[in-house]
Formats: sequence, structure tokens, C-alpha cells
Amino acid sequence: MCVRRHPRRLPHKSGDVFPPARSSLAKFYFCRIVRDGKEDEYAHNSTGRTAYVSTRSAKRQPKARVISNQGQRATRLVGALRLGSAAAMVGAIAAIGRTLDSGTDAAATTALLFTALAAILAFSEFGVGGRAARAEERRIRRALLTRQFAAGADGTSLRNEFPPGRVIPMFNDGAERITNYKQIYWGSTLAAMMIPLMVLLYIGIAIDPVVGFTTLVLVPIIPLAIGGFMKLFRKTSANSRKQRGALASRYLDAIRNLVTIRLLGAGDRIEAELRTAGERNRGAIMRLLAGNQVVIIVMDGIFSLVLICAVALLVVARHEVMTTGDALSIMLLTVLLLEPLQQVAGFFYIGMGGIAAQREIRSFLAATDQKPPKADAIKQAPAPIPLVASRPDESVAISMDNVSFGYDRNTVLSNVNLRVTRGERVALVGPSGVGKSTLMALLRGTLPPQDGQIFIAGHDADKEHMAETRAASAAVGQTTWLFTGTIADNLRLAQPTATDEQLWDALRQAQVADEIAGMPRGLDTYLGEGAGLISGGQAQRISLAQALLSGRTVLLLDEPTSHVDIESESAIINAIAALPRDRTIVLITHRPSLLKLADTVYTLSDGQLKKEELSRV
Amino acid sequence: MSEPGAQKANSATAAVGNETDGPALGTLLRWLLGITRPVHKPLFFSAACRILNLTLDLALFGTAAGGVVAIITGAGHTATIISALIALSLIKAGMFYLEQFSGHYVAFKALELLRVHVFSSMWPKAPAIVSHSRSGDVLTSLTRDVDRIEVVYAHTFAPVVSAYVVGIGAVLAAGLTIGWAITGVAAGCLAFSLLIVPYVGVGPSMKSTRQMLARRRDLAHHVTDSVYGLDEVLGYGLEEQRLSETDAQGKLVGDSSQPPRDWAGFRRGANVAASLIASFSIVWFGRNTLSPIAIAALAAMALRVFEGPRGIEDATGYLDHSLAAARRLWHISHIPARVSDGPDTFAPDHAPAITFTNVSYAYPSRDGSPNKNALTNVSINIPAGGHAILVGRSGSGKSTLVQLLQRYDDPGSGSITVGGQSTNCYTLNSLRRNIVSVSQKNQLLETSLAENLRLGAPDATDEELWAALRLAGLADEIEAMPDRLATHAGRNGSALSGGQAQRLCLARTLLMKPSVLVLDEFTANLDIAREEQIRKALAAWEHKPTIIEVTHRLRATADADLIVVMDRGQVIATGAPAEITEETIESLFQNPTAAVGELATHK
Repeated sequence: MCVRRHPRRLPHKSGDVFPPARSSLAKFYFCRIVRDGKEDEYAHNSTGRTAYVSTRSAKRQPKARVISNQGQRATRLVGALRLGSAAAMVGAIAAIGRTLDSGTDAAATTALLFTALAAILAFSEFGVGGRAARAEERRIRRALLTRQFAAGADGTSLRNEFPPGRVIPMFNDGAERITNYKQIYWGSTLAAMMIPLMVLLYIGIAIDPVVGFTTLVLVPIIPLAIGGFMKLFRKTSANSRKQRGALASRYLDAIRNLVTIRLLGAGDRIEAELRTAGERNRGAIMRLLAGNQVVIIVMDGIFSLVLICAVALLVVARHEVMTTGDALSIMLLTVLLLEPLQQVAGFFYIGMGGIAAQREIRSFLAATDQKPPKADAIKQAPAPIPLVASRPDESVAISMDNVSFGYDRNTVLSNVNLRVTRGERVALVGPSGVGKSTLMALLRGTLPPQDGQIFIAGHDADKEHMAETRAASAAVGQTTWLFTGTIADNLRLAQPTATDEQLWDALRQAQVADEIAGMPRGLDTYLGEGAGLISGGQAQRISLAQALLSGRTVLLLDEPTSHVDIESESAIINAIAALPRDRTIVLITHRPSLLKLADTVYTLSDGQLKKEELSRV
Repeated sequence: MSEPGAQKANSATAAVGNETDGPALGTLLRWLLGITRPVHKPLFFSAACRILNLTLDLALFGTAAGGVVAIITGAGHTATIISALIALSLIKAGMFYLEQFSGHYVAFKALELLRVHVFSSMWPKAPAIVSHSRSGDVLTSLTRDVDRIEVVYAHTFAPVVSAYVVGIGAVLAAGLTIGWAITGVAAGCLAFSLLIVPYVGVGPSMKSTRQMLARRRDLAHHVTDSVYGLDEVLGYGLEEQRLSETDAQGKLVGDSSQPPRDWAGFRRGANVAASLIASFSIVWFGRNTLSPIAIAALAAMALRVFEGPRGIEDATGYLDHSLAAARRLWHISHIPARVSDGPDTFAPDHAPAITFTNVSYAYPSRDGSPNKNALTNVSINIPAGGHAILVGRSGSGKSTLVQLLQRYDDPGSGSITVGGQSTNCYTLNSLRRNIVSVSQKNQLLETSLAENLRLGAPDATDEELWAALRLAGLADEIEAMPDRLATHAGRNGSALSGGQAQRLCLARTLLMKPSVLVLDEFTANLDIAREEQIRKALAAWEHKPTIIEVTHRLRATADADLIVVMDRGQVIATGAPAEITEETIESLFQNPTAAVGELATHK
């Protein structure tokens, strides 16, 4: 388990996986190696130097920390404001008691001043909590996305355990929920639990020790009772949640298949089924609740009886040592003893959602923690590399020397050697699963090389410089994801400063300019929500235009026509054929029409590249 | 990258505009109340329990404070007052239980009612309602929206109503019995909390919340792009750019979520102040004229009665979200149906002929601006019992054409007839019962295979199911499954392979014995051997429907009578299989204008 951490904090804390602020991106990783039940912690920097840090028992794996230090400070501040507001209320209530005894203006003024203070602190608690939650939400989202990018750059495949469908809600809703819980709800709840304690301490010290401290003994009942309440309710609600969950997923399923249901004429039937299932389910839940909610009577009864009746009895018993005003103050202060109850409802709306989000985020952090995040994963976009290769032999665009690669025990590539000269067009064929995509990923810089040496456009593609490797070539994959925005926005992802004329130029080269010119808004055509206006073939050609626009001289094409229609395929082939010869092309394909474009064809099998003899007509 | 930012702001305002254009508050509430009528009685009951609960709460604190002072001043009996407190506590607890239980009843029931209502108002408008215009957004927000409205029923109505009833009752009772000189200020404080505090800042808060929701949608799109577009992000070194854009959008979300938060803080602060001032004013104005017992009781009750406004505060917190949710649901439920039933029932006794005459069609656009034609002057004649193949690249309009045949929508001009009569003469159900399509999309419900098969033919026997499965070449594989027909299909058919799911959809269609069978890229997930087996079985099937096959690659044309080549919404060639092959199509695309005249001989 490796973690990057700020070197200043090096000897003190462990388990802090939160990336530090951007300015302090340290080049240190922490690596914990679990051996014989002991966990050794090593720090190493990006040059590979390693230092032993500490040893400790591995039994208690610290949970990945989700909330940043700022976030935790905010939680404490919110709690302090809530507690402060309650303290000011205590002050005001005590002054109300004195007003009854003395009726002086001084007491009245004190009461009103404390009132104002209580109001201001209560107001601040909300504002501070809201601001802190959104700020922390941004930090968490940045941290999670950074992990996602780093994992992608590492070639770590998250897709099985954390497919997009799982991480996207986590990055959006999850980050919102956990911060609503931690920065808005949690500090306030902790404070609310402490309010009775504070009130009774005040009574004990300022009014009467017997009343104050005797009731204080009863105070643990409050957290216990609330805990018990939640626990009891949780069992019931876990049960009923399961049933509700089943019903909800049935409903969702029906919504998802609305078209099928409608076309097959099953609408009435499914509607009736949903209705009866819902009714049945609701009946079961209500029977469950009827029994379990008796606990509410007990809880509410305990609060009223124990606290109010006990306080009343104690005050009566001690009335000789206090004034009427004191007695009134104490009775008014009992209202504050009920503050913790205010938090119960929030638990179900904010607490449970927040806890679930926290669990989800933690498991994501743990899963992406297997490898040290690459330092370059979150670096600024590297400077565009010069078009002219800086290697001694300028005629070589790509060279692979004795490159081997394997996953676990499976060797995929063994001692592969490849030399592609500038402007050469190389096709790579072979059955699926043979490692073509692995080879391509090594060239693209999305897999760290394990053994051997790779040069791309004069750049040494070692694992310390993967961002630079990625900047050495441009790729077109089997499918293209178009970003929300206009066609121009999408193209400028590859070259932010390109002029409209340059965009059109690239689109013309990619053989898609006419179609885009034919759209009512041309370059400003907005591509939202799945880009319904653009066909898959057009998207592929826009991706090709992107690649051309990037000015990178090496183009890596991974079956670019496997998901497109006939016309788009021929357009793509024409586009590739017409490319200026200073572009070097490596192409994976099965299509004979694409193979025709290649100067050289290699077959990959058994981890080896074999040059095919081309028989040209 | 400031330009996309501006673009997004535009799209955000568009979305906001859309929601504000919705119904007036009154209309919206009447609509909601109409749906949830069955929960109104339990809702009133729940509110009544809460009113009693709050009243008893006031009595409890009043009795405790007043009673203690009474005992101290020798005016009361300890035993009497303590037993009163115990009795009040117990009854109050009972009321609380009833309130909670009926509240849950209301919540669950309202949830069911809303879900079923939304579903029932949506399915008749499918497929149009899902095939275009923000479908993804609609479906994902749907369940969350329903949940948000449930919260209104469970946690808004009773607290708000009881706050007013108990608050006004308490003010009147105290003012009339004690006199306004002493209770006037406290009454004013409560009036402030009930009549002013809840409504201050509601307008700006709601506006801000709507803006925040729109910005959250943009943020969500941005995150989605970063995750799905990971290759582009890494390939072009856009990591830091994406992260700072995400931050910037997060900042916007934070900016628009702050005003509602601050207003909520104002409400909290105002109510805290009002409650303390109310309690203080009783003591201050009553200290010379009123007995200490009454002062204590009233001061405690004055402090406690602000529980009501506090309940309103919580409710207001949900309200703007809930109203936005209700508006979205209203919109979904009120999208007009694009097609309606004709007078006749379509019940052909043989495979019908199908004609498209000069059919033109444009998809409805989001903002009502004219959209490009998806089909232009399409004319095709398919003879009764014939087998036509529509071929063309993606986006050529071939799928749109068969969807119009099933009346996903009506053509802008031109006509479609089946069996000699226009398709809109028939009821939608009878038309779609007889013109059935299988597409490449996986359309399985999360239930057993048998139930999936029976979706279109609820009365089919197991024997008939197996016969259909044999036709679709899936019987053997299902025989081999331990649960056979009872096997669960999983979410989106995840328990089956792509090819199996596709054949199951085919079997489901064949089970309905349609008189027109539409095969839309139905071989997408099948290998050639399997495809041939199914084609052979279909050719030998005793039921002979008219078949329309939609494909982007001509593979098996032996069984076809007619091949129609489409491009950009137009028919560019029709002919017999002998006349049109993959090669002629390729040459068509190389030189389309020259080819149309030469090949379009077959009319």
C-alpha cells in the first residue's frame, strides 16, 4: 500500500492518503509492506531512492482517510458554533431567571445580548457548514478524479471492480453526500450531544450542584437512548429497506424497458403488477413498523419522564437554597436537554446516505492505492514535443528493443523488436487476445514498460516519463468518446490554440468536413448527452481530426473502423491514405481494405512479431 | 477553455428556464393532491396526532415549570403535580407513536401512488417519450424526484399545519386569558416566526436552488466525460485542465448552494432569538402583576412553542428541492402523447402488404426549432408476405422508417398503409400486436426467462414457449440451464450472453406470431452459422409473416424479394437481390448521383 504524502509530516502520521494541496505535490510515496504480521513503511521518491520509515502491527489496517484536514477543521468549527449558540442560550435563560428575581435593566440587557449572540452563532453555523461542505466536496472530487486518472495512466484496470457506472455516481452524488454528512451534519450532531452536558455543568456550578450533578448522572441515558433507538430502528429499517429496494429496482427495471413494454402491449399488465407488489410490500413493512415503533413511546417517555420529572423533583427538593428565578432558569434549561433529539431525523436523511458514500469512497481509495500514483499522472500537460525527432537517427520514428511484457505469470510479449521509420505505415495483425492492444498501450504510454527499451519520436518511453510518452503520439481507438460541448471544443482538446481554419483543415483531412459543414451550426454543433447528432463513423473521423490537429507525427490506430458503417469506413480509409507521408502510422486491423494501406505488415503471435511478405498487385 | 464554460452556462439557463416555465404553484399542488388523494385521511390523522403531541408538550413544560414554582411557594402538592407530569409524558409518547406510524403509512403509500402514477402516465407515451429529448436525464432523476416528493408528504405537511394550529391556539388562549399587555410581545414573536420567517428569502432560495441543480447537472456531465473520455484525457495530457474545470464547476455549484443555506441560517437564528425574546417578555411584562407560577408556566411554554416554527424550518429546507422535483415530474407526466389510437382494430388473417408513400419525417427538436429531415419522400411497396431488406449506413433513416410503421410517431407528410389501410386507422395496441420488431438492443426485464417470453403473449403455454425457442435456436441452451424457463435473466439480461439475449428477444417476438416481422440488425451478436440456422428455421416456419429486415451490411439475401438502399433519409436504389449486391452498394456510395438513375429501375 503506497501513499504519497507531504514530506514535512513524514515522521508523524500514517494512513493519510489525501493528496496534499496542488502546490505541495511532493515526490514521495509511502509504501507499506506487510510481512509476518508486521507492516513496514517505506518512503521512496520518484528517483527510486527508498528509506525505511517505521514498523508497526499490520493487524489494524487504518481505513483510508476521506476527509481532508481542512474538512475536519470545518467539522469542529461547525460543532463549536452550535455549542456556542447553545451556551449563549444558557446565558440568556439564566438572565431571564434573574429578571424574575430582580427585574433590573441590567438583567434584561444581559438576556437580550445573549439572545443576539445565540442567534448570530446559529446563523453562522449554517453558513460555515454549507461553505465548508462544498469546499470539501471539491477537494474530494479532485482527489478521486486524480486517482482515476492515475489508475488509467498506470494501466491499472479499474473497469471490473469500478466501472464508470459505479465511479460516476461516487464522484458526483457520493462526494456531495459525504460532505453534507461530515461538514454540515456531523459536527452539529456531536455538539448537540454535548449540549445537555454543558447545560447541567452550568446548573451544577452556577446554580445548584445537587440538581446539576445528579441530573448529569442521568445524562448518559441520552446518547444510550438515541443509540438504542437508532440500533433498534436500524434493524427494522434494514429489513424494510431490503424489501423497498427490491420494489424500487423492479420499478426502475420497468422504466428502463418502457419501450419494450409499450410495444408488446404489456403496459397495463406491468402497471397492475407494480401496483399489487407495492401494496403487498407496503403491508408487510407497516406490520413490521407497528411492532418496532413501540420503541418510540419508550424513548419519548424516557426523555420526558426521566429528565423533566427528575429535574422538577430535584428542584423541589432543593428549593430552600435557590430563588424562584433560579428554579425558573433550571426548568427553562430543560428545553435544551432535548437538543440531541433534533438530530435523529437528520440521521436517516443525511447520515445514512453519507455513511454509505463514505464506505464506497473508502473502497475506491483502497483499490486505487495498490500502486503508488505516478508523479506525472497529475502534472500539467507536457509541452508539445518538437516535430523533429531529437534522436541521433532521425529516420527512426519508433523503435522497440527486446521489449517484454506480462500480466502476472502470463507473458504477452517476449523480446519484441520493432523498427518503424519516419513516414512508414505499419499494420499489426493477429488473433484477438494475442497482445496487439498491449503493444499499442506500451507505445501510447498507458502501460508502463517492464523490460526492454522503447523510443517514440526520439523520446525514451521509460516508466518515469509516461506523460511525455503519451505526448509523443496521437491515438484513435475503436470508439471515440465525444465530450459535452461543441465539435470545435472537442477538436481543441488536442490543440487549444487552433484557429477555425486549422480545425476545418484537420476535418477536411479526416474526410468529415463536408458533413459538418452541412450541419446547421457547423463547428458549433453542440454534442450533448451521447451526441445523438453524430454517427459513430463521424465520431471516429472527428477523433482522427483531433489526432491530426495535435501535430503529433506518430499516429496509433486501434481498429478505427470496427464499429462504423460502410461509408464511414471508406471515408476513414481514404483519409488515412491521403495523409502526408511525414506521419508515421501504426495500425491494428482485420480489414483487408485497411491492410492495403500498410507498407509493412507484422503478425503478432506467441509474443513475437513476424514480418509478413506483402504481395502487391 | 472559457468558451465551453459559456456554452454550459447557456445550457444551464435553458434547463432552468424549462423548469420555471412549468405550471403555477396552485396547478402543481392540485395535480399532486389529485394523485395522493388516498393518503389525505391518514395525513390529516397524522397532523392531528402531531397537534396533540405539541399541545401536550406545551402542557408538560408549562406544568413542570409552573408546578415547581407552585410547590416552592407552597401553592401546590408535589404528588399531584408529579403524577400530572407522568400522565402527560405517557399520553404524549402515545401521540408521538401514532404520529410516526401514520406518517410512515403516508410516506410509503404516497411513494407507491406516485410511482404507479408516473409509470402509468409514461408507458402509453412510449416509445416517443424515451427515444428523444433528454431521455437519460429524465429516467435517472425520476426515482430521486419521486423520493423527494415523498419527503413532503412524510415530513412537511404535519409539522407545518401543527405549527400554525398550535401556535395560533396558544397565542389566542394566552392572550385572551392573561391579557395582551403581558403576552403581546411573545405573541408578536411567534407571529414573526410563523408568518414572516418561513417566507423571507424563499424566492431567492428557490431561484438559487434551481441554478444549483442545473450547475450540478453540468458538473455531472463534465465528470462523466472525464471518466468515459479517459483515453483522450490521458492521450492529450488534459488531466490538470480537466481537474481545474471540475473545480471551477464545483465552485459554481458551491456559490449557488450558499444563498439557501444562508437563508436557512437566518431562519434558525431568527427563531432562536424570537423564542428567547418571547420567554423573556413574559417575565419582564408579567413580573409585577402576574403570579410567579403563571409566569414560570407561560415562560416555559413560550420557549417551547417555538418547536413549531423549527419544524417549519426543516420543512422549508426540503421544500425547494421537492417543488423542483414535482415540477419535473409534472413535465414528464404532461408531455403530450405524439400518437393516438385510430378507430379500428387491426386483425389481419394473412400477412399484409405494406406501402410507404412519399414519407417525410423530422424528429421533434428540444427547443421546437425545425430539425433536419430524417426521411425525405420515401416510397416503398412491400408485397403481402414479402421479405424486404432495408440497407444503409447508420443514420440513413432505415430504423426511423420501421419505427414509423409501428407508429413511434406519425410522418410529417406522406402515408403508410398496411393491408391497404393507413396505419393511423388502427388502435395502437392492435397495430403493434401485429407488427413486431426485434432489434439489436437487449430488451429483457429483470425477471424469469418465461416471464420475459410471455411479455407480448401472456397466455402462451410452456409448449408454445419451447416451440418459439426452437425456432430462435435457443431451446437446447435453455434445456441445459438448471432452472430452464425459470432461469432469471438478470439485470438487462446479464445472466445471458449477448447472442442468447438476442435470440430470446427473437423467440419472444415469434411467440406473438406477428403478421409483420421487423428484424432490425437482429444478427448483430450472432455468428454466421447460427444466423444461417435461424434463417433456415424462419423460412420453414408455418406462419408466414411479411418480413422487413434492417441491416447495414448485405449478407444473406437469398430469401429476400426486395432490397432497398437508403442514404441520408432517402431511397437511393431499389431492386431484386440479383440486381443489388454489396459491390453495387459500394459503387453507389463512391458515386451516388450517377448511380441512382441507373439502378432505381425496380419500382
